[in-house]
Amino acid sequence: MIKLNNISKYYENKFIKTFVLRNINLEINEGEFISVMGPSGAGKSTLLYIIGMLDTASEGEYYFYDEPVHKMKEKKLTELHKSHIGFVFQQYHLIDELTVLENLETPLLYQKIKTSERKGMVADLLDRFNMVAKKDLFPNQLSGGQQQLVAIARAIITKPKLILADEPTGNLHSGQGKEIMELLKKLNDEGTTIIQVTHSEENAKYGNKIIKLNDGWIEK
Amino acid sequence: MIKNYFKIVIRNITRHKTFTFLNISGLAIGIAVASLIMLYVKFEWEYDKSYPNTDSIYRVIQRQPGNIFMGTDYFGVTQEPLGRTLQLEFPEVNNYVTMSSWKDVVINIDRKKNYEEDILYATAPNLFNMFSFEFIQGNPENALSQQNTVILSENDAKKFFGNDNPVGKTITVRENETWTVTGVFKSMPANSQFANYGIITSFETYASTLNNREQTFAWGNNSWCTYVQLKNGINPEFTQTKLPYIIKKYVNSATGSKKVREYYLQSLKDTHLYNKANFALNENGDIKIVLVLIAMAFIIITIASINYMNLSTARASLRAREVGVRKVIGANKIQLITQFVSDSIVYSIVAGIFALILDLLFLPSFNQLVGIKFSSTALFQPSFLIGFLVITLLVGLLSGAYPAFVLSNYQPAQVIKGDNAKGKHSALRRILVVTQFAASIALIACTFIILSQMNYIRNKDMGYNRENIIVLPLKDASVVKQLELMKNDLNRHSSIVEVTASSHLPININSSTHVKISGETGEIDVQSYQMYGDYNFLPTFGISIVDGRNFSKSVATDSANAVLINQSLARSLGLKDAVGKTLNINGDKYNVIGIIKDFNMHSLHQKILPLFIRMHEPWLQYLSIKTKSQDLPATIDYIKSVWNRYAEQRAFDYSFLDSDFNSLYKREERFAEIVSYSSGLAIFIACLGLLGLASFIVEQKRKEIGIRKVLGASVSDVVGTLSKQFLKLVFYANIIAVPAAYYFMTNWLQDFAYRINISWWIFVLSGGMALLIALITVSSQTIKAALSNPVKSIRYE
Ligand SMILES: Nc1ncnc2c1ncn2[C@@H]1O[C@H](COP(=O)(O)OP(=O)(O)OP(=O)(O)O)[C@@H](O)[C@H]1O
Ligand SMILES: [Mg+2]
Repeated sequence: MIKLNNISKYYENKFIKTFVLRNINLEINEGEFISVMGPSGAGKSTLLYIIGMLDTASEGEYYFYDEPVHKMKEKKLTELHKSHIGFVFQQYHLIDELTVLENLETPLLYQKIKTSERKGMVADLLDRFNMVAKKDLFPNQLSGGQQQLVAIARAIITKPKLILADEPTGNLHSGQGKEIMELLKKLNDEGTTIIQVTHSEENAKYGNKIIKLNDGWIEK
Repeated sequence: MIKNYFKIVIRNITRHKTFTFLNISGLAIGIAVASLIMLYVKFEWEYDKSYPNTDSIYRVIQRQPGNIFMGTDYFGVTQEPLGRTLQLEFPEVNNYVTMSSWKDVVINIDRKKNYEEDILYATAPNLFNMFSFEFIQGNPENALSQQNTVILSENDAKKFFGNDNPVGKTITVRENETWTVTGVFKSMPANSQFANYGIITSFETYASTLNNREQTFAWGNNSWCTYVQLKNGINPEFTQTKLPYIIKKYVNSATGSKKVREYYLQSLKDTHLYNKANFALNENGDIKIVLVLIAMAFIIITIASINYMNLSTARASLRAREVGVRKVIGANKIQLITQFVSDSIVYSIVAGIFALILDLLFLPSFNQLVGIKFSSTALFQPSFLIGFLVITLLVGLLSGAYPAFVLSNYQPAQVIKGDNAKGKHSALRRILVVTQFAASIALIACTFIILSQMNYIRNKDMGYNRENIIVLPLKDASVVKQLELMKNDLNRHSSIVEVTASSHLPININSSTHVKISGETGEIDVQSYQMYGDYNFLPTFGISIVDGRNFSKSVATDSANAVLINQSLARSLGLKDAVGKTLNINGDKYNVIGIIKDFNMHSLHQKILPLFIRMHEPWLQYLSIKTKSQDLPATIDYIKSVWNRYAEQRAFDYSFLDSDFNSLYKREERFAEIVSYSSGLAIFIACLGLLGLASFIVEQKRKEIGIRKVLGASVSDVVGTLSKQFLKLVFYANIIAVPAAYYFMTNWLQDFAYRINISWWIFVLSGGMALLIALITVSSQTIKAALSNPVKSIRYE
């Protein structure tokens, strides 16, 4: 599903290159649940953004379903990204001006899904996440765990093949964190490929494989 | 999707009140100004263009090279037989109309009701066919075929006869002619040259009031407007090249004159805004005023849009995260641009609603400014509303495009990580602020220059006295016959110093002819302005005599063949000792009895030109009464009582010479008002934007301000550092504004024969004023921030 060949990422500043990722080679198959670990500043988030097509590598090749992502124009990237990938962040990143229901609806609007179908999908998801009563609240009226639930719901509403989660439980206490991890596990069992970044050994164990990053290198 | 965008905008509008208020009020003023100007421009632009035949109608104007009159040698008047002759000679001339008018004619209905109306007389039925008059009663073909018949506009018919059927009723004109109403036509739109004419009669009826019919209708008399209609597809150039033939065959042979003249066909579409000829049926528009107004609308709209752009991009950093998130969940660039443009469109629509209210409130003042009476229903006509909507949407689109472009370009990987977009685009924001202030300052400088020229005009010694002089138009011959009795009665009052009757007022002498004298080298022929006066003309206006004497009652021949000439005429005739010389004026001999000091007899657009004054009672038109300044109301009452004694039928219309003088500069006055209002609005809107930016930056720098204060900075230090960056911008704006204003104003002043020099202090004043206003605006924000408790702002960051 994902194949990275010699991916590097650096920032150029006054002719000095600062490498964030170096010669990353990685292959991820459909259905896997990967945990990325490593110290702060190791490049974990950067790797996730590159895989999620929100950022581009400085060097190397990236194949997504055998298609060369590194050669694609922005329009194609946006297209691929929006139809296959869901994102979850440590800071939830819900849109403050929109209610829970509207936040869930927004990705479907970008996919130009018909109103009736859209309403149905949102209703299903609210039901599944037990959030029907909260649908008209704004993000700042929810607890952190609830916000992260909405964020995950928003990430999966378009039924992506791949979910990228950057420290999804980083801001939550352990009870809430566990709930989120169970949810991700369940999604993985249903067939969604998941890559998560985490600092917690315990959470890393939900995955079937751990990748350790250190100073931009993958530790073997 | 759009619904989703709108929800966010509405929530933003209510959440960020200052931002919303500043943007909406700026945009509302901009849209209001632009839409009112659109109303005016449309009116002027469509003037005389509503007739089905407009495209094929031409006015014949003539040029008499060198015969400069009121600044031009083009004349809108021609000879009575011309139209007829053109149709006869040239097959491509389909139709012609010859017409002229009487102004302020006394009309009686049923011997009782009194009106003063303008009457048009024209070749009927040609007039009705060419300009497509719609008849409600009677018919165009024969309505005016009988003598002493008249047709009325719907409005005048109602005014004169109420709901009675006007056809068959009579109106009495000048108390001695009775004309029968034979038709009623649909009133012409306000932007038609016929709008003022509610009474139309035929040439034949007009001719019956003349006792010198032959002469009036001859090739020698230039006092008629001639319009021709060409067959479809005829190029007017084609006909125009044949016009010299007409001059040779008819004009020159009939008059025996070899005067050079040229005829031109001026398209009806150009006669209102591009008129360059003397004499027309109506006051003409002015393309310059139209263009200046369009420019002002553009400047004000731009300044308001810049506010939106600046405030939106400044706040963009606050929305950066939202953009990132939307991109992550699948938004593409187009969708984001659509979102932010619909944002600004919502703002502009809300602003549009307020603009419409502003339009309604300020329509009366606007009417006064442009001199047209638009009714408030004009604001609800579909054509206006469509234009209004277009302006509103365009403003939304223009102000939203740039912020949308900036926002949609944010890279999600950057903004989501918390990288702030702060500081970016601030260079462009600065440039835009400089632009706003440069335009505002230039307008302020122009205002000062225009006002000081107007002030110069008002205070310049014109060479005659115009204070405390009351002017009464003598209306018609029957009043002139009573003149001596009236003068006697008036002179009896202790507050009346001097009374004189004259054909013109010294503020505007607009009649001219040729003066000849035989000198050693042959005959000298000078074109000179002329007027008629009486014994008291010079003393009343305080015009001094440099040589010779005034008209005198004790010299019996004065009233027949004495002439006073001004210094310019004496000079033009090459006379050193003019007194006692004999001049030939239109074939009659006149003795020069005195030389009067040159005075400005026109607006200051023109230099002083030759003038002579004769005495001839039938041509007197104005009574000028010099009064003492105290107890004016009682004096006016007395004048009224005298007027009513001798001219009871005529309305008592008086004016002050001083205000008549000011009305010579109506155009300039209007121009001055337009520019000064625009500069006021421009600086106001620019300051709204500055206020927004200042409050935003202060908000952003809360923490920095707190730290500085903890480190020991005083309030004035903080205000100084914060305000300096804004004032620097206003200073740069000055550097751009000065040459721009200087350039435009030097151009404008070229039109005056007498003008001020643009002095440097005007620019110091306008720049200083803008700087002061900007300082006050910015300080309101910076001082507040500097005074706040530093601990608070540090802790809550
Ligand atoms: N725009 C940039 N310019 C220069 N360096 C950058 C830029 N963005 C990120 N970096 C650097 O890239 C490195 C990797 O950042 P990244 O966010 O991927 O780390 P991380 O492993 O996710 O760390 P954490 O666990 O703290 O989230 C950091 O050292 C950071 O300083
Ligand atoms: Mg990270």
